[in-house]
Amino acid sequence: MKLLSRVIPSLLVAALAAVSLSASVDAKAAKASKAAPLTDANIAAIVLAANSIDIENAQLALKTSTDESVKAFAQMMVTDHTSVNDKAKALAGKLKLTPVGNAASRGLVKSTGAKRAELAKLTGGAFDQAYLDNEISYHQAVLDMLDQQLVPGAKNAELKDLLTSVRPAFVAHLDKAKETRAALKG
Amino acid sequence: MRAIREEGGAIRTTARRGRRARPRVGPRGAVSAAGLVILIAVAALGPGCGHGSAPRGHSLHVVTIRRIAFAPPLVTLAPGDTIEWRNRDLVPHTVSARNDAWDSGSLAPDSSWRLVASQAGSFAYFCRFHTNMHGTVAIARSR
Repeated sequence: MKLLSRVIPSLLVAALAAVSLSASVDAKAAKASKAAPLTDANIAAIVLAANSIDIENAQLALKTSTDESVKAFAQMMVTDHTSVNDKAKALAGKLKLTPVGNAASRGLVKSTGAKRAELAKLTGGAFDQAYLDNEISYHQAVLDMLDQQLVPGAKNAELKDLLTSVRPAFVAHLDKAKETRAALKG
Repeated sequence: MRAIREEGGAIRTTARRGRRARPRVGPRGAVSAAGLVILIAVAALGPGCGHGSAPRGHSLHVVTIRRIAFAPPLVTLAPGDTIEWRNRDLVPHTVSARNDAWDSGSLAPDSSWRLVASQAGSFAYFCRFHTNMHGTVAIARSR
């Protein structure tokens, strides 16, 4: 938690307690979110947003970094999160589930967009370190969200199974981000 | 000797049907004349593919890839047996020998890949994308 609060303070807040973001997101949506538990449509929106965010981060890294290990990690993020999103979209189609954004998904996009804008100002080793630090925090936050909100909240068994099945991949990403970060000089 | 190439994200062989070419691959750094593993018709695409039986008199062993793991992680084959990896995970994986003797290339979700066992030995493999994923193929000396 210490690391999370240091690196991307708003992300976990956005994901786990949308009400805390009421100042920065649509207040009405936040109020509605507080009143109503997540629906499967909300969960689908959060899953799609979470994957898309990390794809965009990785695309920035592929464009900015010159470190082969960082680029390899970023490519894995593009490949895996694209694949997960394809599966999630296919399942949503099968279940006739139209993703519906809520305060949590909008807060996620907003806070991570701000972080990406900060990253975009960096180059070289400073970028690599900040990108990987953010990836570590982001994957930990998404795992916390999966465990505490998404898996317990999912009503449909196939959606719950997808959420459960994706967890080991996110753990592998977290481990790889830590390993790649530790190997960076500086 | 047939080459192996990728087509559309899956592995296919260029061998003519019915003729089993046998590229022989040795340990890291040296292509073994004796050969360790024979690669045969490899790709299987989509539902229904990859569920065929092994050549007559030999067994088909299946390793399922799910949730960032090979299951079972250890498979013991007799010479001539076939082993098939089926990717039932949400993300692509590879089946890559530690000694570089064979490599599936990227296996998309819902695709599969096969090897036929030849000479005896124990072969460790892993996923190049998720390097914490490990498995072993043990090939017995004879039936």
